[in-house]
Amino acid sequence: MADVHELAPFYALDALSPEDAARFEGHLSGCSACRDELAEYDAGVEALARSVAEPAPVAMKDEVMLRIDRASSKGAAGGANVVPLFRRVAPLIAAAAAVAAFVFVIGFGSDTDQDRIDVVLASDDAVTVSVQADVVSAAEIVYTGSGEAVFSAQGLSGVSETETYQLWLIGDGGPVSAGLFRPDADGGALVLIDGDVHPGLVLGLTIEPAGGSGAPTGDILIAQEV
Amino acid sequence: MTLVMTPTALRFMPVSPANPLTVLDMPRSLEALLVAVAGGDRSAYSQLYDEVADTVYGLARKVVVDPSRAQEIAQDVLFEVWQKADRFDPDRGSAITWIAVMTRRRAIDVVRSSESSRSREERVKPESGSQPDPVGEEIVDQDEHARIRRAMGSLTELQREALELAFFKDLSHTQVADVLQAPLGTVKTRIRDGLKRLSAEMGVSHG
Repeated sequence: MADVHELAPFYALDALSPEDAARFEGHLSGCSACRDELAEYDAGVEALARSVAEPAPVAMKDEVMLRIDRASSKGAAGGANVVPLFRRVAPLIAAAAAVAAFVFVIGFGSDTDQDRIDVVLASDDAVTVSVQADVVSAAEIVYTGSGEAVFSAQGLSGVSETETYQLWLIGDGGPVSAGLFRPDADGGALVLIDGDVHPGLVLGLTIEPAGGSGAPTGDILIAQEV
Repeated sequence: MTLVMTPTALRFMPVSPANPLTVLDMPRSLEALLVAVAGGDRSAYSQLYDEVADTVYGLARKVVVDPSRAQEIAQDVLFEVWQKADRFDPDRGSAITWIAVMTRRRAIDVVRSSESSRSREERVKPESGSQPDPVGEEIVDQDEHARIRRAMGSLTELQREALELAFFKDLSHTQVADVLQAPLGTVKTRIRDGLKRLSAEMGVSHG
């Protein structure tokens, strides 16, 4: 294979195979000549990219700004937008995490659940689906590529001692229980979904007798396709 | 239950906005705009969009050709810029190059997944004798426009051809040489010299 220094122009153009790119990056940290060379090429790559600029469709900006606003508004508007975790859930999760830290201490869930929730929320491939439902002020499902998932909500009504919220995962085989929870005093919840979540499934929420039911008996409060 | 923290306060805490003073003190370069965008600044994003959208769209068009697919790619990339602004590393290059490489990658992924049935050679034949494509009209300003035209015009035909194959097509350096039916060493030289020429003509070095 050629001298690794010769790869610099191709690396600047992002035109190396993954293997060559990795080889060059390994070399780059110890080679100031190549770093200088790359810096020199930056303006050239800019020229190449800008040389093919053409007027973007006018509607494009509205579309992009709308996506940004949806992503920033804690799931207030729009359908089930699939976007990575950044920004949109940060405030919601921060609040729910504070709540959850309290809730778990008094007996719902466990430290293990909390650890797994943290892993899901911090996962690089986490995808967020905003939940549209009247029973919450905001809610989201966050799931990873491996199917681990977290349900997070604000604005839930309280349930009596004899009742519980129950989550359901609804696929071709009908609803399967995905866990029980009670919201905290402020109507917040942050729970690990019991079961694998993947696109195509529907997450359901009902109120059931304490201890949960084998199949939903209460009104469907949330039915959100993932 | 008196020991409950006050989650209400947390819940309404906005994503930390960029400090307006730092932003105002800096020239609104793309890099400065990206810093503001990383802090959730919507109006900075709007400005950034205006500066880069034509490049993102045009680059996607150059790679995938079809306008509606190019628009989808451009929208995805521009949204990704909003999401990933905090990952931009100025030590590794300028903002526009970072965004251009993201665009190129996304567009090439789309080409790979949708055109895998067509032979690679068929879709990468160089456009012999074609002139540099016109620069978008809405771009930045006339000086910038002229600078890019001048830079592209300074390339030899062989340099331009090799650079365009390497950047707009899904080809490794050895594949570029195959397509051009030229020795690898020659192609490498054309690409290196072409890039250097472009950078020199662009004058200002970034970062």
